[in-house]
Amino acid sequence: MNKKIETIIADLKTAGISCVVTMLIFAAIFSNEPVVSSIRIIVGFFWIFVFPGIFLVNLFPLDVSKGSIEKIILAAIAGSAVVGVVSYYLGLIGFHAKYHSLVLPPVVIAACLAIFLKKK
Amino acid sequence: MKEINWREYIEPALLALFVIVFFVMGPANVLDKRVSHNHPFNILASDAASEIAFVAMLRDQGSHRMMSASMCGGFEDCYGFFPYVFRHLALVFGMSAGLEDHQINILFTSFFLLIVCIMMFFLIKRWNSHIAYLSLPLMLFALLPRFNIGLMWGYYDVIVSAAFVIAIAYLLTQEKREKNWMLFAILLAASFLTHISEVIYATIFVGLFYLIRWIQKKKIDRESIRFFVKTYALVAVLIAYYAIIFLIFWDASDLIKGMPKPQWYDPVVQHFLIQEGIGGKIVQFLPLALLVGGIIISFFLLRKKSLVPILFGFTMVVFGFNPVGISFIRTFQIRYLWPVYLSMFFGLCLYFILSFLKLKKKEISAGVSALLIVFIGIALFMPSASAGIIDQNQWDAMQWMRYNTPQDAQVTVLYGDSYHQDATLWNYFRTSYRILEKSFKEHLENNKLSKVHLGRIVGPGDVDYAYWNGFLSLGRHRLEQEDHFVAPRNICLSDYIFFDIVSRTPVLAQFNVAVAGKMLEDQDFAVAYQNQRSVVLKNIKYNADCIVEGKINE
Repeated sequence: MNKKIETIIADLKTAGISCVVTMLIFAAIFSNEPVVSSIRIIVGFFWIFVFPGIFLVNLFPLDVSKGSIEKIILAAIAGSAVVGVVSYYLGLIGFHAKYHSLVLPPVVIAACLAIFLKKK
Repeated sequence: MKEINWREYIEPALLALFVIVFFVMGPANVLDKRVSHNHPFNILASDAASEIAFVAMLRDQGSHRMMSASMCGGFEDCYGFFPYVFRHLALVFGMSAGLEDHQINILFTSFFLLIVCIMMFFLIKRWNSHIAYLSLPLMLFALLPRFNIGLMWGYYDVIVSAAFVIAIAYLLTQEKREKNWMLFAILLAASFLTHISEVIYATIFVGLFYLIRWIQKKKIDRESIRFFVKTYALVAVLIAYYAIIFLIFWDASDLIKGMPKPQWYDPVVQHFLIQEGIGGKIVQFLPLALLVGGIIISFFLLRKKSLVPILFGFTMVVFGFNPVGISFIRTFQIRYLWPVYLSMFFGLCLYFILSFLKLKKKEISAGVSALLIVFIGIALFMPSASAGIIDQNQWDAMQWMRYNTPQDAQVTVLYGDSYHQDATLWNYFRTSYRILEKSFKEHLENNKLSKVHLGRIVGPGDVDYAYWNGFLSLGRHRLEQEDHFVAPRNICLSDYIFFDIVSRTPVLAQFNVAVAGKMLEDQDFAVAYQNQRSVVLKNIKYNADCIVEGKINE
């Protein structure tokens, strides 16, 4: 379990660094966009897809180095898969889509943590 | 003091360079280095306009279970019939990023295109790092004409779904792949609910992979069978709702149609050629030559580690030509991503050449890749920012109608340069009848001004405005009430008239003005909104004879 927590922390650290680097690149290149907006765009992307994805991919026995960019990219894709499918069905059962950006990331993270604890 | 191993930073630095050049050539170029435009920027086709409307509809309604009545000819019982995960992802991202509906799609899809490229990089890297580094430059061709059409023409769901497929291919390179069956299932389901074609490619590809392994091992192992059964059982559960809708609503007949011929806007093999004037004929043909060289070399390299990336590339070459003409293979949508799917062959050939020259160090492969990335970014950069087919004035008029007219108002749309791209008109969410070009032509040719014009309901008519008519039984409004959808209409009875007073074809704008003039003459209509380009008239008297038949020039 401790190893898993260490892995998640390493992944989150890399995700954080990637987020900052991407922010800087994006803000510099999108020079006609206000900096605050650029920051919000990148942070928004990481919040919705990458951070939940990190907890999700750590549920699986993947042969990929902890804290690697490879894992962050896989996390982004896995995170968007889960967020997309869950958002689709939540909408169908009546939970309005405008709340999903607030609710889904913590719910996905909490669900993953619950599964970790159950496995322990 | 700890020594810094600079070699550890080669790969992150190369990826950072790639990201920079990608942003410059891609979204920053397309969006003129700005996200928060006040109107839909660089939207060049109906599909792109429709995606804005779908995201806006999702934000308003909360789900896509039902279509907006304004997109269903006024009927309130049309079911949502597209796979909608892309729109959910776009909205969720947009709300988190603080973006308006019309600002989201191109940027969001660009992010996913970048992720597609980097995931492909890591897929190739599972086999060979050198080849992975050397594959990156070709991926930038996805941002050049005509491969980049997806970003401006609205093939967003294809790109997002491709990310899920490449992740599936990546998972196949894992030793414990069968233990990750749930992750496979989630990605397959997400792909299906985003854009169905990709899950078909993924399934065929995964099937081929296992077939080859069974032949190599000379047996079919139980673990793989269990893997397939569990994975696709979970996929079936996750996609059940939409799968039923798809099978019943869409007409899936006519599976084989003959080898597809490209339209003028579709990418073909020649788009891997560099334009003339940059370095001569050798440079012009180089990318294509390296691609073909890589394909030939890869035939001799099918081994355990290389199986997944090479098989993936071969699959996409075959599907990209689609020699049998299978209709569910969306041939030209695969070709939009050929620069990514086939990049491994490019990298392989380059690595073969470098190995032949005894230049086998990773730093050299990374250096060559970096040089090519910079060369492509500078030499092949083509500015592509444009206002698009919906300019600020048209968008302002549409937004005025959206927020200042009754929900059930009916709008008649006269001529506008871009309004034949119907979906532009979905964005103000009112039931609309667009007067058809042949009606204008007929009136102009006969110098005739009248109140009756041939009009068509504006909306996604792919499934003929289908609705549930009982258990697993479908009705289709368009087939049941054809006159409601396409028929001559008395425009004097429309709640609002929407048209442009400026056009690339001045005579049509003048015709609009002539028609409007008659309506305003006796105050049957009044100007409700006007800007430099677009006008909205409101019906005051509902006088069925607001236009007396006559000549245009009277």
